[in-house]
Amino acid sequence: MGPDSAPDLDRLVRRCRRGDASAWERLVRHFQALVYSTARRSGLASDDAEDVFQATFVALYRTLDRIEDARALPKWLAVTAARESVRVARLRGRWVQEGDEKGLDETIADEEARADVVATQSLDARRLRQGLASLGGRCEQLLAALYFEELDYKAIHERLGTPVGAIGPTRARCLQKLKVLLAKAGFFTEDEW
Amino acid sequence: MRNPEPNDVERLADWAFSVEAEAPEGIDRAVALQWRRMARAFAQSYESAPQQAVASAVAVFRPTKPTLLARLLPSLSGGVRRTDSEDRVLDFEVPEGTARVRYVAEGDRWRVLAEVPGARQVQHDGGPAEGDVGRFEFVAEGEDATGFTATSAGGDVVFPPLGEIEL
Repeated sequence: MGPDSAPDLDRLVRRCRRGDASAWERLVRHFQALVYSTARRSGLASDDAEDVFQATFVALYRTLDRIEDARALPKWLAVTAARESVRVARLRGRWVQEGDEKGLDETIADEEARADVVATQSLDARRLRQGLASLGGRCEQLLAALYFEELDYKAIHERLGTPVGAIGPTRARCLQKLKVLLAKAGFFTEDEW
Repeated sequence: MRNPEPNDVERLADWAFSVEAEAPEGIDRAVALQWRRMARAFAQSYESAPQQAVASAVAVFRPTKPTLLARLLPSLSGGVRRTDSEDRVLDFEVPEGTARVRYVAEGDRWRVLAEVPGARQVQHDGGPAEGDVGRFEFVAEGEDATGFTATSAGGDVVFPPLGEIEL
């Protein structure tokens, strides 16, 4: 199992309980983007998002002995990070006015309801980027330019030298290759959630 | 379910990034939905945490008992020996001396035979290992399950699974 492959979460949690610090580090690294992205998506600045990040992993550490099903970890982390984000945003005077408890409850409920989706999307995004990195070369450059930087065909031609007329078919072939890679990596398997 | 033809791939790529609900005609809906899921993953915000934040979260971990990581002895000093087939014998430095662990491949499983000086107990994913003081044995369900923790009077020593040991 490589450092970036999907870990067996149950096993990692058991190792953490046995005092294995390297297992904890793998857990943190595996979920760092999920937690940080959740905080940033809530509109927090980077400093506040880091506070949420730390608080979420402290909460996870304190909960390790009580985790019954490690497959629920992505959702648990997303919910915890979302709640903590609401709390921090409130402290900063955003989202919720002082005394507006209903607004706070509703905000938290909304965030929790989205937790499953957020967790799935964040981990999909991580796997996609890993897949793109494995693809490498021109395909990685082309797809990143198209979908992360959202460059138009003319700009892509100027950067990569690909004729404008060839960008569409090349894009399709690259996406097909990426899909095969993702399928091998279990991207389309729902079971692990 | 048929595999998409080259022309289908371009249609799928167009459709996946569009807001059209209906899958392209003649293409299996399950395949089309996979394409759309992949396309949506491109649009998900994904931001890695700053390295110092990750390091701080990693540093949160504080084992309740004194815990050491068994250190693999370098191969030049005989720390790693490959036997026939996929079996491995590794020597680790532990507080009470040198631990020797033999990993024997048994199909998809691994039999782990550990000699850890001073160890009273060995815990692995499946629970406590069978054995006596200093000598233990268990069967791991896969390479990732070959890690274990040995408990001695001085504390716990963690032996990482084979996949995480840099040989």
